[in-house]
Amino acid sequence: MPYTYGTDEWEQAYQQVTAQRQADESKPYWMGTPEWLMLYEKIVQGDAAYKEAAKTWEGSVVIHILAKPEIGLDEDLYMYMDLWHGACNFMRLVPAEKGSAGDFVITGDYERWKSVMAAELDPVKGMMQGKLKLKGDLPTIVRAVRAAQRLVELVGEVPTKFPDEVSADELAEFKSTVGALRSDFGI
Amino acid sequence: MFGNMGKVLEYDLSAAEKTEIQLDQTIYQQYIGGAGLAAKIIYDRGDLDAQPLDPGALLVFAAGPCAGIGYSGSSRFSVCGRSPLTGIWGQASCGGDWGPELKMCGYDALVLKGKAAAPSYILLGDDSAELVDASDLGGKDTYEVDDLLKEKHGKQSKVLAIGPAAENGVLYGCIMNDKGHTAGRTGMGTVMASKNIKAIVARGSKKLEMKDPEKVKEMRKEHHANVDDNLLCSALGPMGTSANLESKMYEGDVPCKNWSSGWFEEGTELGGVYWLDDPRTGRDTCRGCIVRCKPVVTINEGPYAIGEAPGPEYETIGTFGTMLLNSDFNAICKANDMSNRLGFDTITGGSSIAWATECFEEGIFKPEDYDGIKLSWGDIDAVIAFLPKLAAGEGKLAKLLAQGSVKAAAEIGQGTEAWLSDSKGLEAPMHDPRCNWGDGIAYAMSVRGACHVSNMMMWLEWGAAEKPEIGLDKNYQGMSAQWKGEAAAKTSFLGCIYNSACWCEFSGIPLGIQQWAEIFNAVADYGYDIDSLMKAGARVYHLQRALGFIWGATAADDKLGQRIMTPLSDAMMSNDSVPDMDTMMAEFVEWAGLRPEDHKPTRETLEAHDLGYLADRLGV
Repeated sequence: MPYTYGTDEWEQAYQQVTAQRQADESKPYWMGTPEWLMLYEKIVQGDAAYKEAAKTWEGSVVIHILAKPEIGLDEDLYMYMDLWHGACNFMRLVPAEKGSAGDFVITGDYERWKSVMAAELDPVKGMMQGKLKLKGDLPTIVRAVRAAQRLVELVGEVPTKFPDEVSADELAEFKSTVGALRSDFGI
Repeated sequence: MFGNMGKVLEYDLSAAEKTEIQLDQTIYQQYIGGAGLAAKIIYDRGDLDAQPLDPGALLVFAAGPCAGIGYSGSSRFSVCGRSPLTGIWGQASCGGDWGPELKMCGYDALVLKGKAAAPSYILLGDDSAELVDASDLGGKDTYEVDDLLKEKHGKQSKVLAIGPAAENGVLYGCIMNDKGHTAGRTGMGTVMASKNIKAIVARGSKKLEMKDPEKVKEMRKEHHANVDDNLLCSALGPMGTSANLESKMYEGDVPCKNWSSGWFEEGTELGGVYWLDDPRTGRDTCRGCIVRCKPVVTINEGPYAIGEAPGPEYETIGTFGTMLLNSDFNAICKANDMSNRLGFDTITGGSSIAWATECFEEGIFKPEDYDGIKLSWGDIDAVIAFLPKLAAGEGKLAKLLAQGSVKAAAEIGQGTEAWLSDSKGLEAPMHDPRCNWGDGIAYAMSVRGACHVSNMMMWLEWGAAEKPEIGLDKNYQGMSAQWKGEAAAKTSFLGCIYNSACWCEFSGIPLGIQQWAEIFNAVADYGYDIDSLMKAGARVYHLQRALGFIWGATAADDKLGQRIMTPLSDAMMSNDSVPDMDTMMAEFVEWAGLRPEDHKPTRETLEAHDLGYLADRLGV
């Protein structure tokens, strides 16, 4: 029975699943899973450079990864970050309706985001070169380039297991995980 | 002929004689147009022994093959000659509407030689040119001249005008087009003044023919969609060319305090995002351009009131802002407005004033020696009061700075040469090679001295552009020499394509080179592929550099001013960094096919680019 996003039930169930998976799974975590996102959240929350750079930032940022069925991403994936004045209030995997309505949505295909996560692609350069697409108020983002850069730099500090680099058995496990999350949480 | 009109008008002002020169399609294919065509004309027809302000020196105004076809960024024009500021190749690029109008008069280029017997302006019409008395325009500022000539010849006329600065011998006089657009660098306005020409009015009605109009239309749609979709172009429109000033100051890209500092906190709010609606009240553009990056500002009250007027570009915000530790944006608007009206390059002018300010602050200059003038960091009012004197050549300081900072420092000595930020006598633009090393080699090897629009190096290092089809797709890091020599050579050739085709780099950022070649082919039947287009860019580069050698430049001049090679200590990200010029230079020399001992092109390089005619002249 899927939970409805925005309800207390959804939030409680999401937190329980995250905690359980953190306990059960070993690092590096699968890219884009709740436990991976929780680790990212903690890194951002503890980063002094981000806090300083983002002290005037107001608004949500969404990492939007386009679907790639062969690696288990049957549909687009949205990672929602609630950010306010240098604080990272929370990060969640969210349904498409919520994700696409974020204040700043950065969209790219899996390979691009993987390059960012592997610190091979500077996200600001990626946006300027059109490899990542930005939706949101440009003057706001121009004033917050340092914060945006630091935020996405930090994703490179999350130890990550990428689904295109694993065996067929492991990939099947990832697909199953994603499938269950989609089914339960509508993400 | 397609794209081009097939002829150039040469006006011998001394003899009051006009000659129409028919050019073969091969010349256009080889030199593209604009600054490339101008270099070929100057080499073939100029008196290369003439000093920059001698009557025998040529001054060429040239449009590109795509001027007036409605493509975003394709309608600039170039003004070229021998620079009175640097003594070598002089080149200024200008937006606006004049380039297309020149072609609609029936000419791809206007060549001025000699000197008019009396102050005059040139009236261009369909296949016609007339020398008109301008004795009533002498001493008037460029905006007044624009208004008067439009009143006389119609509002649709396109006007180029010089101001008092050029008339009074300031070596970096610029040429203004329709008030808001500037052929700014290397003193082409001063060359125009030396020919007794105050203005050039163009109004034509001839039709531009294209090889494949349907394809041109189709590709224009694609090009504009790409420009629309590009993040940088999207930012430059509403926020102007200073959109990135704040973030770039964090990186160390913005020179402060005459390049002695990498940080000016109050200056971060000079970025375009901070004046989106006030005092910005509008946006202007060049013909056909959808980026619309030119701010219009309105300041009706206070000491810096200018009414509604063209606003400052990033470079001017740097030279009259961060370079002087001035954070008053309205004051920069005022200084910009005055500079435009008086008619001088704000980069060389502002940089020279910043150098002089350091001379005052360090006690080299004393007010009693300079007519009571005292320049200080942050005192923009003293600068604003000085600008009319500078343009008029009034007083000792004005006479000194009218030569630019490099000649001034040579005259003053006392260690002030260490505060220069030039290459080959041309003051550097407001992008610091200490945080992006590639800018350093690009400035040093530019065809006209320190320049960021003679190449695309800056965009590459910023990550705003990449050109994988010619191998420019590496992960370039700012403070690194890796791949930079190769990249600077290739982007210098690209820069020559831009300035010859008279395209704007902003709209060119999202443009693939194959796509660009196809546009040239559809418009002007050039028959380009990527290789032949790049070869044309390299050909122009080698010819323009050759003219520099002929006019006295040597490999020893391929360097940066001492200040740029002095590390910063207060920048946020670029302290203790100076570009590794030796590594980058060796790589550049190899990729460009130059001789390591004198940086001249090898004979093989010349022959491979159909420039064998230069070999004996250069002694290679």
